[in-house]
Amino acid sequence: MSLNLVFMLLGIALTVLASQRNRPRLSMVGIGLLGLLLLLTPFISNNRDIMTNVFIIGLASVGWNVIGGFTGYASFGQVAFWGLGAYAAVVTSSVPNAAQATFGLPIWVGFIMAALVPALAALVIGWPVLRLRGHYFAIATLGVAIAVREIFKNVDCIGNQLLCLGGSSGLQIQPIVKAADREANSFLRYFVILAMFAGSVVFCWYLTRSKFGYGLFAIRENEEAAGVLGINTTWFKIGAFCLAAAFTGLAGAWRAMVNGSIYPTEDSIFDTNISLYVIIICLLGGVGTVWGPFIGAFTYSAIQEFLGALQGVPGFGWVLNWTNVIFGAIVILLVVFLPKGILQIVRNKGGFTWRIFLRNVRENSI
Amino acid sequence: MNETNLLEIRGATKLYGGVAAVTDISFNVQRGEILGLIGPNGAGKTTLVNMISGTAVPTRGTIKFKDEVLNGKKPHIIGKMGIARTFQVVKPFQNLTVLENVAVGAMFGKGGVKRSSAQAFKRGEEVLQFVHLENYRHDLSESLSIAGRKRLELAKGLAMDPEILLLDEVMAGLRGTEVDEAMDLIRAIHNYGITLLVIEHVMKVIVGVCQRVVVLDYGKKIAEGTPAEVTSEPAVIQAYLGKRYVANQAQGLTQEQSPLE
Ligand SMILES: Nc1ncnc2c1ncn2[C@@H]1O[C@H](COP(=O)(O)OP(=O)(O)OP(=O)(O)O)[C@@H](O)[C@H]1O
Ligand SMILES: [Mg+2]
Repeated sequence: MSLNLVFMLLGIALTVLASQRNRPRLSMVGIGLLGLLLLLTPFISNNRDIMTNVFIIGLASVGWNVIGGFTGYASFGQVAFWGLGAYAAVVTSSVPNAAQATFGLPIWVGFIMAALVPALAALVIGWPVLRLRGHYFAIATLGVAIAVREIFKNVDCIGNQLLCLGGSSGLQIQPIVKAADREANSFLRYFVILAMFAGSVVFCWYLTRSKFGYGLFAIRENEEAAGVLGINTTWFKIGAFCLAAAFTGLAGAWRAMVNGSIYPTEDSIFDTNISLYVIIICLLGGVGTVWGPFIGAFTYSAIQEFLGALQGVPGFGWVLNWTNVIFGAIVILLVVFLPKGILQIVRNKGGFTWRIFLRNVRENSI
Repeated sequence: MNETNLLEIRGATKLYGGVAAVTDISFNVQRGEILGLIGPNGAGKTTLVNMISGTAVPTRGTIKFKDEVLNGKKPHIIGKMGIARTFQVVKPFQNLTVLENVAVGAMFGKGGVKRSSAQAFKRGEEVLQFVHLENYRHDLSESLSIAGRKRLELAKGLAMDPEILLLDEVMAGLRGTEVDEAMDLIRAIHNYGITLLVIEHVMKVIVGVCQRVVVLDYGKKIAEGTPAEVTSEPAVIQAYLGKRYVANQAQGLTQEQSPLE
């Protein structure tokens, strides 16, 4: 069994502890141990970049959770903001050369842009799209993701070389760090991404206690009643969409930094699967909960890691070709038996019973 | 500013497709009164409340609140101005607790601007105490009975600290002493200085708490006056009981008492 898988499983267990909101002391212990685990992981792990990826996709999922979970508007196009964030960071911070006219500004400016640009895009897109509900909203966001990708494919330079996106040939990230510093850089990256991911969860915790957060919940539960109670539903929804875009954009920027290059294609920074992964992760953990994306990111990665490790076991080589089928089956089982995620088991008043699964099936079927 | 009229409705009309739900209705709600709004099923009472609260836009006519025209204003603006309403078909925030439901009203209503989230919860506790739902405050709102959900609607509106509260059949389904308690509750709200528009089918309630009554039928206003005045009005009796009853009564053919009295 790979070491990272152990870390992920421990991560799930400790996050479950941390999420015990009715038992503050247990929760504090959980948070403490989780912190310790995540601080030690990069020193013990044989491949810390795998853990880094958990945080990246987790951060993107926190974004989806704000609009899909808290506000009840399930976006199917988060990859648009993921890609926009990536491009914003690379164009801002990558060192320019003969092949590309990027700006070469400090990396932190790049990350500010990686949050700002997607948020601005969400403001513009959200205005018309957030008038739609349910399936119509989902399909519209799907369309947005396709449109954004095609724009990046076709636009090379805007305004006489003022802003160059590379068109279909994409952009390379000029390494700012010397080869000798790679090892240290990978450590640093781990901790910075972890800090952002943890920060985003803390932010969401704060959000769920704030007036803005309660406004979003009210919109999710009944938009008409929310409006009558004095909530400016239009702006609250747009605000949530912008926040969602900012978090997902930051995560996309990290993916770009780790990969070293970005192309406006489905198998690069506009990977349509990203839009689905962020949803699956929230479903796994618990949609609309603070800790859901955290638990979900660990669980999702643990399943992937487990299936990957299984391929190496004699007699299980076939798993390689069936990974996605198995993963799909897990998602189906999840939606049928545990649509509210792992947190539902943990927070069930009577503790864990198998009846939870049956009750879910009964409640959610017609 | 007009001192006595809190709400002025002038020629309010609402068409759905070709169907007129409300036709050319005018009346005032005076500051500090309890006004009853009655009429048979489909008379247009809820539609009128929808127009006042901004969830439906009047096809014609104007609605003014403290001399400010409400037409075209979004529900959240109207709510912040000091108009709260309940929904006849209740709309609780199901996955929030009873207290959270009410706290949302306290956060965003007229009194919400200067309240923090924590202060709104405090206000929510007070309101729940007031409407006797405090024992359910940490339960999910979906666990309430229908009568409880109606009371929650009322509590959410009240938590907004409105100047006027529009109650759309909050007592439907109540029995016996429950009705009396609810009437006491309405009077208590009134004592806080809140103006009330009460829609109710139970005449006992209307006669018991309202100073004036407006009667609608088929989207039109057919009577306005004190409860005693409107219940003796032939048009009102006819609307409720049909033409034949009125004709029979005129000929002394029926011994029945009008259920309106
Ligand atoms: N959204 C709508 N679309 C079409 N017709 C509507 C709509 N809302 C109300 N109506 C119609 O308008 C008329 C008035 O309805 P309304 O709900 O206002 O009556 P009401 O007096 O509240 O009745 P009740 O006592 O049953 O609650 C009815 O004929 C109804 O069918
Ligand atoms: Mg009605």
